[in-house]
Amino acid sequence: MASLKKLIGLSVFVALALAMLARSGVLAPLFSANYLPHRYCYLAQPGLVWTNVASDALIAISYAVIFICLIWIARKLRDIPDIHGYLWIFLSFGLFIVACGATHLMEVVTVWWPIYPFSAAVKVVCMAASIPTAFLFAKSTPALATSIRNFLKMLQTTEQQRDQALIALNLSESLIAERQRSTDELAAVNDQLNSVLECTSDGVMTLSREWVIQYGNGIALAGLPDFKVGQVYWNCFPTLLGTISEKCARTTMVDRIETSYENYYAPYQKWHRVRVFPTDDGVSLFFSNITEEKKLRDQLELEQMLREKRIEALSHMAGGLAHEISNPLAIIHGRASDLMSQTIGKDQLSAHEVHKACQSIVKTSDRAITILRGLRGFAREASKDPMEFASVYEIAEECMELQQARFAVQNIKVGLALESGIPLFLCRAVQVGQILTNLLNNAFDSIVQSESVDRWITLGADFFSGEIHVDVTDSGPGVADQFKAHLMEPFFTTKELGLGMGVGLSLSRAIAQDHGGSLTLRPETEHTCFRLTLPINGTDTSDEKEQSLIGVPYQPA
Amino acid sequence: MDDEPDLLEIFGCWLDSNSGRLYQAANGEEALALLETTPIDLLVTDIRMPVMDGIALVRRLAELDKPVPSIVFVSGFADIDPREMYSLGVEAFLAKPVSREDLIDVLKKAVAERSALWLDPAAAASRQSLVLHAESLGEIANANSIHLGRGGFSGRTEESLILGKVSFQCKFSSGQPEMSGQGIVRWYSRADQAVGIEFCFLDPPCRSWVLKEIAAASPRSFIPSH
Repeated sequence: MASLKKLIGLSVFVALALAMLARSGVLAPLFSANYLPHRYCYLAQPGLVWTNVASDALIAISYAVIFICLIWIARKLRDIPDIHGYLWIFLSFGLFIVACGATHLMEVVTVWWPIYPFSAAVKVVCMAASIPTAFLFAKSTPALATSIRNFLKMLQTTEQQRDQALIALNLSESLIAERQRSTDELAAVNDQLNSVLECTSDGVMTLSREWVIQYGNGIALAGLPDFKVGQVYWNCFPTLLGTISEKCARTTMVDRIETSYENYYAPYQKWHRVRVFPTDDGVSLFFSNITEEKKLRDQLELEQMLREKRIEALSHMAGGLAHEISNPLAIIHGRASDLMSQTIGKDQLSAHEVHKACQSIVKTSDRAITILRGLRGFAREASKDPMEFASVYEIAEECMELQQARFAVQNIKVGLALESGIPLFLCRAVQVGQILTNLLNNAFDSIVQSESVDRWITLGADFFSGEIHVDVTDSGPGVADQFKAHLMEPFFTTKELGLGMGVGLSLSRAIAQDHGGSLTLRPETEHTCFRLTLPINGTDTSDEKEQSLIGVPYQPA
Repeated sequence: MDDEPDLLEIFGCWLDSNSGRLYQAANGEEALALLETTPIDLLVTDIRMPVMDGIALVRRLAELDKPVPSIVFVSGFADIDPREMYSLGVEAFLAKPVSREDLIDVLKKAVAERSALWLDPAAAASRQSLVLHAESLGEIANANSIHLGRGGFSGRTEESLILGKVSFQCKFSSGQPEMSGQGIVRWYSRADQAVGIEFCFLDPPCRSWVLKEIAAASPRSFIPSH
């Protein structure tokens, strides 16, 4: 709008200026009949001269402008492959227009300066430019028309594409918006997840497929100070290589299945329970510190083993006991029923005979009671008993009494070789009894299994520099050299199937160590001899209590 | 035979008044030596004894090619599988302490002629009853037959049984007549689907031929182990 006003303003200004010039008379000579630069033409009329001069000049200027525009367009279009083949049209047309412009310019010049030969030459040039242009143009017109149509079609297609692109763009914009929303939500969920992972009592770590640690929660960072995010897992924990940890992690990584294991990590002295899960780009490890739990579990297992051992020992004795108790009962029953029938019948018993039968009953009942006393304490858990003073004589004799029946059945001679003057000592008597019973059982099994002719077991005890030594020696074939190293290991047994689980010696040794003592196979003895060594002021290592009581000398009855 | 002198004395006293000649031994070896030289009809023995226990003695007797006496275990504890025990020829197991009447009853039954046995049916009906289908009666080699012992039989059954009284009926595809009566399940093995039954009563129609079969075969086992 502004440019239109300017144009109108300019036109009014030019018109007014021309009017003023015309009025002033300055322009008058130009329009007088006398004004003729040369008088060959235009009927000597100034109006015709100026009309021609002005028109020709403006045409020349216009043609020059058109030429410049054509060249400018050609320059702009030369990169378009479809148009490239027709650029010559712009050039030749441009030349033609310039040549035409030049002829019009010559028309103006020749009004005042009659250089007609030059004017004619210009016209020839114009003709020379226009004829090939017309010819080539006419020849190329169909192809040009097709090209233009194609170009237009292309433009149309491009337009459609543009529309589609715009629609797509709109869509993608909404998608981007959507994605942005999702990303925001994801970030929120991620934050939530992170806070959950930080709250959990498990250590969490994620590893890439290249075993690079990508994430570790607070527990992981606190519990395993040797790693940093971004480092290779195996470089941080090299001692795990070749262990079950590596095996499980690799299984999960390769087979994409969950694995779990328990592992002792020596550098931190910790037990971990680890679960490994496959993730999109590697694995994640969840580990919990189970050191305390493991300790409790081991203790529980030891107690369980002790219990099983007791049951095993009990079943060993059950048969013997049933026999040993039922025999006295049979005697008592027989004597009593005889007394019953014979005190009523015809031939009454004499007082002496009644006395003899009753004596037998009392004697036999005492025997049964003694056997039952031997059982006392054996069938119960003793590891929580307080440490009390006990006599090695009593413990040894009690064990022997309990086993006597079994030994007698197998014709095994038993000897007690207890030195006198062994002082009382601090112990859990029931547990020490369990060790001796165990050793006696082993000796018994060894002799029976070997079917040797020489059948004896000796239980000896002596006292030497604050320690009580209890030796159980048997006439069995001895322990083969290759077994000696494994003898005290749990579940190691040389017994026949069904005779033992192989936990007796390992447990016995554990109990002995619990008392601050030891249990060893004596080397270089002719017969198998196990030595139980117990300090008389036995330290209760299970509770790490210090006991400093001195043993009291004790003389057996 | 017992390693307990008091018990030998008591049992000896009980048996002495019930006729017959009585020998005593303190362990299996002594008893074996006695069996070598003296014809013994009935052996009453403890199981757990030093030198040679009751089971070792009975196994040893089974190995020897000699007529085996009727054997009765009197013990506080059975270390032996009943299936093996009855198969070795043991007739009964009495748990200590045992009453004089029970001991005498069992011993009388053990020495009685077979013709005097299994005559009276029990007054009360047995809780469990069993029908056995077998190929024949006798042949030990044939797993599908009923194996006859001195005091009972063993066979195969798919039924589940408990130890105790049973009324039985054995049918044979060989054409032998049916064997039926009352008895006691002495052992039962679910794994082998086998059962050992001691006779208590034989139905009159089958009684005479079953007795004849036993006499003819004179089996060493009381109940074969199958």
